Order: sequence, then structure tokens, then C-alpha cells
Amino acid sequence: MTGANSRTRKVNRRGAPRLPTRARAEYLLTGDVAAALETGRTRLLVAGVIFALAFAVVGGRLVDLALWGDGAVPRVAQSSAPGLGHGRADIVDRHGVVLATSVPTASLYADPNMIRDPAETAAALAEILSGESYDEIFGKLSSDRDFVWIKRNLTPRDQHAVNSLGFPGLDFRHGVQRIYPNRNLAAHVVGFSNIDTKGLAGIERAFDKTLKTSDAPLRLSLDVRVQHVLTEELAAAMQTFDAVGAAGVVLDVRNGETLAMASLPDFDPNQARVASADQRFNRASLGLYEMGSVFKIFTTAQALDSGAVKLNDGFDTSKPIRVARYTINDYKPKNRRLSIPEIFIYSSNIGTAHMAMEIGTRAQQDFLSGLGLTRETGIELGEVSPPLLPSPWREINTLTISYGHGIAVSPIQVASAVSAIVNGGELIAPTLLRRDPEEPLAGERVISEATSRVMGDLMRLVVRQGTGRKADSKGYLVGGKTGTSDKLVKGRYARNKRMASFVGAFPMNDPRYVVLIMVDEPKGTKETHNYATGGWVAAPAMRNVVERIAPILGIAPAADGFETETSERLLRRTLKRAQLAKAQRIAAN
Amino acid sequence: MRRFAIPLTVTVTLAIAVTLFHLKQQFGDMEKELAQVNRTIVTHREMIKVMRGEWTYLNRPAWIAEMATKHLGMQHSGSARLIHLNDLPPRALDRISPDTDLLAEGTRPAASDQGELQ
Repeated sequence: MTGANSRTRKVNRRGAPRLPTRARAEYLLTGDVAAALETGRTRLLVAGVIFALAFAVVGGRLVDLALWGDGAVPRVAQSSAPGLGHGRADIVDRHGVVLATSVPTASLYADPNMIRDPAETAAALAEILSGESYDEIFGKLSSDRDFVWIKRNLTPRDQHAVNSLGFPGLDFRHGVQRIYPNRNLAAHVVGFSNIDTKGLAGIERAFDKTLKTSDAPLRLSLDVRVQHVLTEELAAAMQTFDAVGAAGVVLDVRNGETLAMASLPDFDPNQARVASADQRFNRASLGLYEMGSVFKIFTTAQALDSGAVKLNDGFDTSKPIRVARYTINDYKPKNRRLSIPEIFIYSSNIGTAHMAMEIGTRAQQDFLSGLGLTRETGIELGEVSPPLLPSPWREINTLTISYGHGIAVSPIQVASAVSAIVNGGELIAPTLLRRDPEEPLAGERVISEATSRVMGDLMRLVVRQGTGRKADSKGYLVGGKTGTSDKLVKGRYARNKRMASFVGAFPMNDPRYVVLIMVDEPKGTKETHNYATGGWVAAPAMRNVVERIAPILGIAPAADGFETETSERLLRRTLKRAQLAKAQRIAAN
Repeated sequence: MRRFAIPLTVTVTLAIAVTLFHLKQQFGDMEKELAQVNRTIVTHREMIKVMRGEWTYLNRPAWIAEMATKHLGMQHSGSARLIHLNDLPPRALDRISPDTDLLAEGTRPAASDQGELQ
């Protein structure tokens, strides 16, 4: 506008000079000034359009968020609130009772250089912190280091008390601690983790990744009440018979859920570091044992199911069986021909070996394999062992395995196999996780339903009339089989070291739960006439467990007359045969 | 028209700018508030976790059993003590007909019935 050739003058619309009146003046710009003005106007327009568009976009987005926004918290806002997760999910039982949880903790440390009066600070801290002595704290506070731990993982109360002191030089480091509020209960199942909350044993190890990545609690099939009863009764049996250990399992036969799994001696997972190897050893899943006569359940079931023998058949048990350099005897010989039910209830090794001869080696291998007794159990624990099988599997092995010697399996495998025998004949893989009731179960048929019912009646007969009488609990129709086996010590059977066991189910008119009790190296007492067999040691524990867990599990005691018809008939026949044999014995003498 | 265009544009622009600035401030305040709420949630969740742990610890079956035995004299209930609700004998009062005069002599529950009620 200040160019040399530019001019400015007042004109009217028609271009004529206008008089300076009160009317509004108008200016006509021409030349460079006009061009510059035009350029400026164009630029302003472009900028205006750009700004208008930008504001339109922002406005449009605001309307979009206001009207159609999903209400979700923006990522920015989420990221501004760290720590909503807790690092490791809880482990709970089937009813939601906490078995393992992570809680925030604070660890107290000090910078000794900033401590004004070490003596006064140490005295105050020693009063608050249990387990820490004045001398120990004073020593730490008097050191010339920049950083010393005073105590790790304080309780919230202790932390508050230390904070209230207001001493300089003391501070906290926050972290997460894994705690097991039920302490020893189900310690072998739950397992434990290290100080960095990494799973080292049990479910903690088996589901380490899941627990780290999920916030939802991991629901187990365990029931802490059943677990407590089982543990307490096992501990009582151990104490009564001065045993070195014990193991027990409670399984739901309908879905394979493990309601309880106990191994004694146990440990407190909160202080797993101080537990001995024996305490940490899970006898129920990692231990391999020759289960003894408990295996007669499988031999009898197979013999009946395959048609190798019929219920009315029998074998002469008066003479031992000699194969190669081995002799098979009965623990309490009846010295007569025994029927199949009698062989089962009197636990005759000779009679069972005869049944195994009828079955054959190959068929026995296939049947035990079908029951999951020749492979590692699929239960969700790292602490499992593959069974110890004879190799090669000779005829003598077939005979000894028929009554539970020469094959070593874990208690959980036996409990699972017995479940398949009594639940209608289907093997359902045992699990430690709560199953979805709606989820269909894929069971593998191992015996027919008819054989399963007969086996249930035979097991009931063992408790009514046979070696398992001490397991009988009025109203709960307990059925089962006792087992006693000598332990292998340095490759030889030790006569004074036994495993006493009882595996049974209840109520036998409609089996719901399998219970396995095993006591390691029990010693006979005066009350048991120095016997330490399954019938004297494990059967009473079985009765106690059933009487205590049945009300918890909603099993009402049955009134008299709830025995099955076959069970009653078998009982009458067995009693009659026993009376006849007694009469013949008296007549012979 | 042009006379109003520029002032209008400036006014609208200023209004939008002020509104957006206000919105931004509000958003910032709300974000702070959200972070505070989230922190409170975290604190409360942690407190709940600690209390759940303590609650479970105090409700350990072994501890409950010990306390029940020590202070209440409770024992394990055998099967003989459990019966179905329908198998319970009727209460003494239920046996009395509604037409019976309760004040009349001889309609009081028998001593044996009173025993069942206790």
C-alpha cells in the first residue's frame, strides 16, 4: 500500500470524486495494494476453511462420542490407573474357599546413614516387629551401608505402626506375597510358589501360566471340609498305629472330581522351605505302591465280565499254587473249595490266582490298561509317577498281579479304577478341577453295567461279612476291599513293613463316592491283637471318614432294608456255606 | 453480510476455542478423578483380599472343630443322629385337634410329648 505507484483517493460507487460529507466514506484500492489485499483475503479464506474443517471434525467426533460412544473407559484413562490386577490369580475350592491368594505386602528397609538415633529406632522397631530382636536391628542400623532390609513382608498392622513412628531413614518396598490361609490343608494339591510367586509344586506349578495371566480364581474340585476330615482321620490312624505315613483320596464316581487328596506327613506351604523331602512327597499321586488284595476287585470284575467265571463257580483253595520257584498261599486259608464271592470276601490269593489263569496274561494287560493302571494318571499335577510294571510280563506276574503284587501304582490311579468298577462300568479321568455340570463326560466303558452292579454287591459283602467288617457304617452301605502288602526294601519284601489299605465306595445301592485309605508301615496294637492289616488299620478309618463326610455331601443314612436284593442273597448263601463248612470241620474232628 | 461474517467467525471461533479449552480442562479433571477412583478400587480390592485371607484363616476347619469341641462341647455326629425331616415325629401341639378347647382339662400334652419338644 505504500508503493511508489500506488494511490488512494476517496470516490463514490460510480467512480466520481465524492464530497467529504457526513455520508460514509468508501475507498477503492487499486494496483499493488489491491492485489496484496486480495492475496491476504484469499489466504484468510483458505485458513478459515481449514480451521472450519478441523473444528467440524472435532465437533463431529464430539457428537459421535456423545451419541454413539460405547461408554468404555479410554485406554489413556485405563493406563493412568496401574495395578488393578494382582499378578497371580487365587486358587479356591469347589465352594470358593480360598486355598491360595496373593496379598500386597510391604517390606521394611532402612538407610542407616539417615538414621539419627539407631538405639532409639531399634528399640521402637523391636517392640513392633515380632521375631526381630533389638540387637539384630541395632546392628543393621549401625552399619555403614546405604541399604539394609529390616523385615520382609510386614503385616498391614505392623506397617501402620512403623509408619506412625515417623522416623526418617525408614521406608517400604511394596510387593506381592503368596499366602495359603488353610496352611497344611491340601498342601500337596495346592503346592507352593517361591518369593517371586513362581509356582514350584502342585497346582501352583501345573497352572503357573494360567494363574499368572488370569484374574479369575482357579476353582478346584476339592472340598475343604472333606479334605479336613480325610486328613484328620489319616493322622489319627497314623498316630494309633505308629505309622510313618498315610495317604487318602475321595473321588466322585460320577464325574471323576477329586473331593479330597491327602498325604501325610504334610507341610505348611507358607513355610515350604523348611519342609523336609518326606513332608513334600505326595504319597497319593507320586508314590507307587503294591496295593495288595485291593487288586482282587479288578481281577474278579474282569473274570466275571469276560465270562471266564460265573458268580456260582468256585475254586479249590486248599492247596497252594506253585509256579517256577514261587508258591502262592492264602493269608488265612479256608482249606476248602470257595465260591467266587467267598474268594473275594475272604481275600483268597489262591482263588484269585485261579481266576487270573482263566483270564490269561494278554487279557489282564488289556483290562488293566483300560482301567488306566498301566500308564501315568492324567491328573493335573506335576507330581505323578508312571506305574512300575513287570517286564517281561510272565505268567507268574499275571498270577501275582491278580492279587496286587508285582505291580506298583499310585493311590489316585487305584481310586479312579475302582470308580470305574462301581459307577456302572465307565472310566472317567480323575480331575482336580471343578467340572462344568453341563459339560458332557466322555467315559470309556471297561465293564458292563450288570458286572458293575455285581461288583458293588460283592464289595458290600466284604464289609458285611468279609475282611472289611470294621468299615461298616450304619446307614451308609459302605462297600470295599481291604489290602495288605509287604513293602519292598532293597528289592526284597520286608516282613515287618507293610502297607495297609482299604478302598471302598458308598452308598452301595447307588454308589456316589470312592474313598481310599492307605497307611504306610503301621504297627499292630494290643487292641488289634498285633495285627496291622488293612482290615484292622484302614477299614476303621474308612468308617470314620464316611460317617463324617456323608452328611456334608448330602448323603442321608439309609434305613434298614435298603440293601440290594443280590447283596442279601449273596450274604445268605455265603453264611450258609460258612455254616456248612464249619459243621463239616467239626464232624471231621 | 460481509460486515457480520468476520465478527461472527471470530466470535464462533472464540466460543469453540473456549468451549474446547473448557472441555479439555474438564476431561483432565475427570481423568484425575478416574485415576483416583481406580486407585481407591485397587486399595479396596487389596483390603478385601487381605480380609478374605484372614477370614479363611480364622475359618479353617481344624480351628473351627477345635473351638467347637473346646467351648461348645460338640462332637462328630454319627449316622444314628441323622434322620430325614419327614421321619420326625409330629410335634405335640400338632396332634391336638383345632377344635379342642386348649383350656379344658386333660388336653395338655403328655409328659412324654413334652420331653420330645425339649
